[in-house]
Amino acid sequence: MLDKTIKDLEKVIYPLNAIAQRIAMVVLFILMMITVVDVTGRIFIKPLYGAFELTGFALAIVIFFSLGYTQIKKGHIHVTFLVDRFGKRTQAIVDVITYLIFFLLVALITWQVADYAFRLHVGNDKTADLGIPVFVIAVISSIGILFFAFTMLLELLKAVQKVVKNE
Amino acid sequence: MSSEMIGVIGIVLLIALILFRAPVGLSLFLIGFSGYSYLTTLDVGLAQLGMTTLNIATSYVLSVMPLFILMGMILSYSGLGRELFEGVDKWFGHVKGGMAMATIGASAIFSAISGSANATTATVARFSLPEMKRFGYNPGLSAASVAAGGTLGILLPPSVALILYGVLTMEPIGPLLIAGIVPGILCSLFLMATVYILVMKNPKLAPTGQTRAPLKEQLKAFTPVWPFLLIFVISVGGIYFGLFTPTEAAGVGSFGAFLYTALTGRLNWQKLKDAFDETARLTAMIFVIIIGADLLGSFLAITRIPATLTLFVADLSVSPYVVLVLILLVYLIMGLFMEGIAIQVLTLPIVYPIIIDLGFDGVWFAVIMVLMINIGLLTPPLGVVCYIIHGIDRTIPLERIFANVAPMIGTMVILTVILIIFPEIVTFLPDIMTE
Amino acid sequence: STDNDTTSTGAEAETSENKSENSDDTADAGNSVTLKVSHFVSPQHGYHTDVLEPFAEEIAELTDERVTAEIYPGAALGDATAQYEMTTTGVADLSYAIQAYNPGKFPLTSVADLPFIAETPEKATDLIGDLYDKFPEIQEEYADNKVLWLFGIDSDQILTTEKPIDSVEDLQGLKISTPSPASNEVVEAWGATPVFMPMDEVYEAMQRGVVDGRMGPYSGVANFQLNEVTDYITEGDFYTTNFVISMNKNVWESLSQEDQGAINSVIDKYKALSADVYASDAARGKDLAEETGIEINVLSEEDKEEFEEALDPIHNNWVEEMESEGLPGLEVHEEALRISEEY
Ligand code: NA
Ligand code: NA
Repeated sequence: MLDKTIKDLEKVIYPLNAIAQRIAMVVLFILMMITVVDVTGRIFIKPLYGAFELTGFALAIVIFFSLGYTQIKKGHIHVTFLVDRFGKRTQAIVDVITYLIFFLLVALITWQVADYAFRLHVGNDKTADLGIPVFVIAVISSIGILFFAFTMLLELLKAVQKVVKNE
Repeated sequence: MSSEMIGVIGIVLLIALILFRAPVGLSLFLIGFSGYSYLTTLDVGLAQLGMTTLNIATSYVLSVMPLFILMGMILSYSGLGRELFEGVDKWFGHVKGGMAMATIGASAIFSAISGSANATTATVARFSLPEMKRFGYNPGLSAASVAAGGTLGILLPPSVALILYGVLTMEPIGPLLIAGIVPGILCSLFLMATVYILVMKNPKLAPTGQTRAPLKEQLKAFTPVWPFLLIFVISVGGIYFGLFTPTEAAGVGSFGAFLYTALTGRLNWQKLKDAFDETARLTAMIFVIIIGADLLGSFLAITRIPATLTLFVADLSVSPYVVLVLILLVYLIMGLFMEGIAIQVLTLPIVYPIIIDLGFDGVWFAVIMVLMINIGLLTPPLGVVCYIIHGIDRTIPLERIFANVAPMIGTMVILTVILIIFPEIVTFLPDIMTE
Repeated sequence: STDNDTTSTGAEAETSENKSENSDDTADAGNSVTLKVSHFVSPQHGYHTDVLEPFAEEIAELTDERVTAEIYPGAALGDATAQYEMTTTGVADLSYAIQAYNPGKFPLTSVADLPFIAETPEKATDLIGDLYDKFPEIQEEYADNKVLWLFGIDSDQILTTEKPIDSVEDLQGLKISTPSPASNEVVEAWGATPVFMPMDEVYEAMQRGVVDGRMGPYSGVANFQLNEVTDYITEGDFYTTNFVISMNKNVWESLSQEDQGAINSVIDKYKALSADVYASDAARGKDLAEETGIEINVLSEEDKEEFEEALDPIHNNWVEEMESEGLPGLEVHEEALRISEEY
């Protein structure tokens, strides 16, 4: 039952985060080009209008859209030497607790960035040069963090699976 | 319970979480957020969580990081990093530990000018760690060299930390920037000497020195790496000669690396994708830690720990040097958990007047304080550069990185002591300048 | 016994669960709070030492220590651009914020950022205050927080490194670092290239020649030591920057009427002091500039004309933009000009 749920979820969550990662990579390229166009423009003709705020937006997308894929690839940092010495079952139990906590935390962050987006929308906040509504980037960011939350949920279920199996 | 006590409990919980294999970055998030909520209300803590996350991730200045990392990745995937180290071997291979020393020098220059210890570590580690491993260097020693070297740039101009010190204390900024030069260079040399001593004591750490390559071969070693050096000179030199800001230099540098390697066929589609993929993931990993550290910093600020600690030391009526040492100790303790800028802002209003009252030189103290902050970058539980190295090479366990960095920290402490005994080492250059 | 009084924050005080133990003394007087006061400038800055610190002390005295404050300088609690929002959400209880850092949020307020509306801190402070009192639409922009006072500071001048600026012509093609989108427009209208830049990057950018100059006030010269990297200043009092000191609404409402009254009784004093402090920082900045040997070119009214003419379209654009958003742009603009001329 749990096995099947995990398999089914993986079929959705993995591709979702793989796509998000592709988006992050493309936006990273755009981030590089924004600066290049801005600098060459400034030296020879005129700087890129709105480069400052576009850079910030691009950075946020690179970070948030890459979070989930980084989790799948085990890219976030952990200190393992202590727990590695525990028995397999204890390790699994520790993981269930930490992933439960951190799944909830990432869900909270998703919610709060979305909530901030709402406040920015109501407050009519805009970027300085281009007048882009700031809530747009907040919404996009919260979507990226939501994908990250999905991967944490998956980690949680896998940890539970390990506890169950070791019984 | 006092707010300071809440802070201490928060720190204990943080360490426990990290030891229990929790993700480091998110642990900082959790403690920062829960602590702020506890001392205010849950609604406030939640709002802080959303705002800080978004505001840091959209920071223009911080985009310097992914762009410099990208430059390092492209150079690394294209094989240029490999050729660079073939050259380094020709030049420094006959010195025991020479490659590690060269890496310290390169990191110091790169971080001096890029202004970011984090970006430097990520950039330099990506191509130097595998190469040093290939040549038979102990990974722990290589990691420690990159990490310590990366922190040096904070002393060498341009230095945001020293400018901030000037703004916070009203010391003139010009002499402050000049004051960092000699100690910065001295620190680089001391760290290189540390490598040398470590290798002498334990020859297994580095390959046996070969005979010195003839000058002709040394010069020939430049041929394949001149593009590497050119990209470095354009992006980093561009900052120095006023063509662009560090952020812009990072963009230009990564684009230069991309253009050159793509045009010369060194970078095929797959390698290009890999470079972008790895850069994005490393960026995500680093920013979780940076945002988490900021949340933790805000929490510790409202616990009043920084102010309480410094005021406590200030109120002791003991000899000036004892007060100085205690103040430096406070900086070391805060450096365990907090980022340099936050530490400066929260402590300098209290510490600076004391230092002046005690008869110490304000410019001299800036350099000593920055050295303490540099040490903080290398110490657990919040030692971002060490986390970045682990993120790049998973085969080096974190505890091993921290352990290998310890002698480097020892060296920095020794340098601090020397600068306390001979303050002229710091002050003579700015004194000449202002005369 | 606990020391809850010093650890409890304003936001905590408004929750039903008041942990304060010495409620006998304070029951009638409302809650005891320690306000988290947040700003983003240096703790050496005149606004920290000469306005916020004395304000905190006086409030504590007037309320018998029921309302105290802990000041967090240097953006320790959050970004410079987030200060106002931090107060709305309670991350800070009281903050010092620049409206122009949140474009779109204070549209009508931005009339006071337009060129040649107010030259001195006193005039700028009176102007923004009068407009706020007169237009409910402007008050509406601050509905999320309790406004304590608004103020404006000394105007931006042109600071350059290598080239003296005597006319608009001299600015052609120069790269000028700017502190806000409003100044981007100004710099562009003069034919120079704006390079938007946070304050902490300016010193090095000028020293290394990344930019040829900066739009900045004399008070900024004093507080950020730009005199070390500036060679010429063209003094034209081009436009001011406006600030808001505001409090979290729930915290404000949690205070007793007596304590609210105590705070209200000193608002005018600290508003005036805000302008004074910036005026004296401006004088100090100008002195410093002169001491450093910076060449200062004070534009005469005639010299100024061409600078003004080039900026006229900015005023028209502002009015059009407001009207297109359904805001009384024309009316607010006319009133601002009237106050400015009558002053
Ligand atoms: Na530097
Ligand atoms: Na540390």
